[in-house]
Amino acid sequence: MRLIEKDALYFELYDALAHFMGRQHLVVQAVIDQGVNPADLIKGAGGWYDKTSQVGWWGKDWKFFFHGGGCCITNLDTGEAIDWNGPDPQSFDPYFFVHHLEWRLSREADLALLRSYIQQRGNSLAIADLIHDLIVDGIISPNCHLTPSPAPVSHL
Amino acid sequence: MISLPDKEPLYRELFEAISYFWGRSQYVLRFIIEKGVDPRNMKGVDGWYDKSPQVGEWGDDWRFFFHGGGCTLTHVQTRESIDWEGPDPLAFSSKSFTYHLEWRLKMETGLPHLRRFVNDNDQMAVWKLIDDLIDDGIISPDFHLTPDTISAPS
Repeated sequence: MRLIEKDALYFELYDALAHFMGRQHLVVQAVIDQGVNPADLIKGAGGWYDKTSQVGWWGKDWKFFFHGGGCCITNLDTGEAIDWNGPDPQSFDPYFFVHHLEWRLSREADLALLRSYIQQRGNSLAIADLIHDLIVDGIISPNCHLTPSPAPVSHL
Repeated sequence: MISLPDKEPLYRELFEAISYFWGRSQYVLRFIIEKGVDPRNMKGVDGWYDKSPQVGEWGDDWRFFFHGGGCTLTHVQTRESIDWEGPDPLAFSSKSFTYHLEWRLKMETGLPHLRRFVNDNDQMAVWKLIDDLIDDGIISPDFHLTPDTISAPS
């Protein structure tokens, strides 16, 4: 099924996921700036423990916190927390997305459909069910890429 | 290699704006895929001409326009225009980003450093800032926000 054929709620969800994926680039850059190769996070803590402290500052505005094979950065002014589990920079973690969405909903007036859905369900983690639907429909890949791995390039 | 926090706030704001644009460009990629077009085949008109009309609607809110090896989505109400140049799904185009930035600066009150820079220079001067980030190794020469050197474990 195509995104355009689905309920408007899913369109808003895809929009929020794309926004989160954009923000996730900041975490990946913070990881790189600590001298850590994101690909090495496949080793868990072994990917970073000898290169950086677990907790510290990324510039004046962000604090970083390495955990297992991931890293979370938190903005001191806004409280925005962006968490990413390595090693794949193109993949998102549904739980971290929901956590970030909660922050957005507390700060922004839009995202009306997602806000209403969470209020009806009484639990923001219910968003994970919607993400699962997008995976079942092939709109998001099972490894949580927004752009599923395309077919091999044709050389016309 | 220079780290992003070592740079002026202008560059940090630029990186955030590019990240934001990259997220928005995922919309264009989703649209292209839903038209049955493989983004990696978007090297020219051959990539889409037999699969989609050049111009049309995507739902009630978006208009699309295929051009060469790229595609633009334009929102009918906000006039947000998101352009993506193929064929690399992970790359962004400086030109497309700059046009989108121009729209954001009109619609939003934030981005103070970029706003001041664009007011003092012009939109195209932003390309030079992007080149600086490439020279510093923060953005890859093929316009990936995540440089290719990290693709394999060291």
